[in-house]
Amino acid sequence: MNCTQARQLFDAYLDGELSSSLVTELSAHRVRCAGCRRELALLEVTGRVLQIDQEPVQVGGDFTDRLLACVETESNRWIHQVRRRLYLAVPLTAAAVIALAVFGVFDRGTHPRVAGMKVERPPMPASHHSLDSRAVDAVLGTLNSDCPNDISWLDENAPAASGLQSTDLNADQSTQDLTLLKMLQLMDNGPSTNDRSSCPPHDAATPLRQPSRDTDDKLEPL
Amino acid sequence: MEQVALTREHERQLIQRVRKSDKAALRELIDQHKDRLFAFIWRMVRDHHEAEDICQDAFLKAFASLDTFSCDFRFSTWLFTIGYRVCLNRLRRRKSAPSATDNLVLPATSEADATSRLESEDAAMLRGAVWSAVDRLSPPQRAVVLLFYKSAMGCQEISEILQLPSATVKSHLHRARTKLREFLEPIAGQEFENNRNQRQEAV
Repeated sequence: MNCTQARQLFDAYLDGELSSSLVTELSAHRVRCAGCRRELALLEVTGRVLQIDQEPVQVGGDFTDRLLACVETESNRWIHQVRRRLYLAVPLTAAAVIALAVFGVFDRGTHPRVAGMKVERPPMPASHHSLDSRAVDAVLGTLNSDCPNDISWLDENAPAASGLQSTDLNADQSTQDLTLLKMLQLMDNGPSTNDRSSCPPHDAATPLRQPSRDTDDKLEPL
Repeated sequence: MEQVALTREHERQLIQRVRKSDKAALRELIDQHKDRLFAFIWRMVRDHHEAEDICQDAFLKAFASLDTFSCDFRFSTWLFTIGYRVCLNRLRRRKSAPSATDNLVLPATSEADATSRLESEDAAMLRGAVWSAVDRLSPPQRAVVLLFYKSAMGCQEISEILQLPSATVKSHLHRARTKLREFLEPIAGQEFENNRNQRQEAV
């Protein structure tokens, strides 16, 4: 082993990661080489001094008490901040809820709801109309069902959720308008008889309100 | 006061109690770690008041985010990581506005005082030279040397504290040793010899 090889092993030797055979090799070189012996001795002594030397300063005796007082102050400050945020958040949330409620009501009022009035609507693709009808139907169904998270109407390939769809797919414009009016009227009078096989059956004591036959009869084709 | 190292299980229980705002547990946790953390930080910044300030800051930050701490790790590792980060920030700030450091010989504790009275001039000179050499290292190299030798941590734990790869920690340690040897070589070679010659002449 020469000096270059020996120096490459110094770190591993100091970290105690050298195999016993290499420790022996290094020791043999150390006995022969004064330069490496001195260098290694200096590194060993430095490490030893760092390990055993005592600190000339120590943390203050009241450090723990001062720190505990700080922790208490910090936690009080945190509680104060949370309270301040709550003071702001509660009125803001209330305002947002009121705003939503008010605009929600106004928005509902903008729908053309007068039965018998002709609604001028641009021609709509059959598939779009179908989705629209099913969406309204699903909303109606959701309002009156026990299964509020039923979102099967979003699936375009889903089987007809209501009797309206079969007429929508291939209907002409007048039939579509009639369908829409029927739907709007049903919104006023109550839900339609939908096939909701996926939802649990309603309580027999509180049956779904069925649209009266009179209402259907009164509708006239536009 | 000699601190008994916490077992992992005891430490875990202590942290659970601190999370439930147990003041006694908080005190025990602080007492278990303050001396080692302070020693490390003081060696890094060499200013007593600043070291206490950093120590306090590190504890407060650790307690503030204790809910995010995973008990799979050692609390000391986490605390030292925070302490080291705060230290680096202070050292960076100090570069722009240098402040006084504890370069003077500080009043030693009774035990250290007794040791220093017993040691020879050569030993005192060696100690002074070694610590001066450590102070001349870069902050990451100094941190690695202090954690390795003073805190007796392995490269893996040091890499977690400094948030560096283990290979980088080894590289820092190697370079630090090389620098220390370079700094100490002339002192060990000449000054020790001159000092010895002077004493022999005086005798």
